[in-house]
Amino acid sequence: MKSTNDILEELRELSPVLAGMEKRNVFTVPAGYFDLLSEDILAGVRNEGNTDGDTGSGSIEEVPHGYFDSLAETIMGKIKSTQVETASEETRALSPMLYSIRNENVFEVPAGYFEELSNAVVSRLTPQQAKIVVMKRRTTTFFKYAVAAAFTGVMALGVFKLTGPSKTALPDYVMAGLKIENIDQEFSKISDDEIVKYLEAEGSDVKAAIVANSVDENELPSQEEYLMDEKALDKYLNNINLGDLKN
Amino acid sequence: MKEQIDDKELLMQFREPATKERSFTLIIKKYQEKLYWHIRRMVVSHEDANDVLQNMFIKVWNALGNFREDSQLYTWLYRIATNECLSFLEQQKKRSSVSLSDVENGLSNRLKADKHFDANKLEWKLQVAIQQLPEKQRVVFNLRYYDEMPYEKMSRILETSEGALKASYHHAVKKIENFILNS
Repeated sequence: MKSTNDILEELRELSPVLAGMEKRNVFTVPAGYFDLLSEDILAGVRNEGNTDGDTGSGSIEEVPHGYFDSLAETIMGKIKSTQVETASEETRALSPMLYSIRNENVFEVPAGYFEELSNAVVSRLTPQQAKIVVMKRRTTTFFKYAVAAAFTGVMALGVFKLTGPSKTALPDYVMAGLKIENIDQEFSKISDDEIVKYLEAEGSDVKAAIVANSVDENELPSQEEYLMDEKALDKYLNNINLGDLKN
Repeated sequence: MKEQIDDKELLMQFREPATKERSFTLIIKKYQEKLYWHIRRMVVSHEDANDVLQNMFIKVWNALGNFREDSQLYTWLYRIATNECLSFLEQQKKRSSVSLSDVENGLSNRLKADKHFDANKLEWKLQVAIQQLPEKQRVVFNLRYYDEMPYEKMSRILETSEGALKASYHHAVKKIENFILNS
């Protein structure tokens, strides 16, 4: 009893509260459990011996009543539970109504659709290459800028002539144009020769305007020529006979 | 019945320039109907299904050279088809600037506009009911109900766990059943 007293003393030192509490088991066991425990253990030992091949002490009476009657069903149930349920079995179990109409197809497909499908797809795999015309676009861009530059030059020249400190006399038809209200109507009265004559007398901007309005785009220097010689455009313009162009 | 060539053989032929186009035609022929019906049930109209199917096969043509054979061609094609369907429905939603439920209602209306539509027939009620499901649940239902696809395979296509797919299918079946019984 000394040791018990020592343990209790130890507990008192560690925790007086715990040492002072009554020891009560909160867990329960089934009624008569301990009475039958030894028999259960022995039965277990005997069964263990049977599985090891010792059948001498075993007897058919030790098998639970009706065991063999339900054995086949039990085994089949276990096999089924490990098998993967097919989709149709699952649907049938979940909803017999849906299962009953699963093969009804309400959709229609055009006649011969599946025969032609692969051709339709393959024909889309090699699309035709778009035609690319590089030079046309570049000369057009150049032409656009040339026209814009010439137009700006002509406008600037006109403003300078009108507002500059040393005004030179403008032709009569230009002075008349400043006073008129209907410009289109008045311009139609001026001949082309008169306009060209004026423009020829008024410098390089005007020449550019004539060039821009008269040249064939296809005769302009190519992109490669611009790259090789930065004066390609000047050379081209110098070779143009404005007398030929105005005709 | 004409025997179909094994996928491995088809893929080998696809890698050879001389037989590439021929083998691709055979791949289309082999899978076209299964994939068509998978797509058709999602987008409803034949025209839309045809567009999605053809675009899908063109993407397959471009990507097949890099296809890794550690997954099955069949699974891979289904995954592309499913993604194409979902993208298509998403685009429709954006184009019409409406919510997805409106798109689904639109699909139901398309069904109802079919010349053969009969609201009293069970099979049509089923189609309308399927369109009420959320898109991904609809994919799961269709793959299981119509294609009878095992969850394991479906899991690889949709990259979702088998348990989640099973739960999704069970919910879908119950929703559809309720819809039909109450409509």
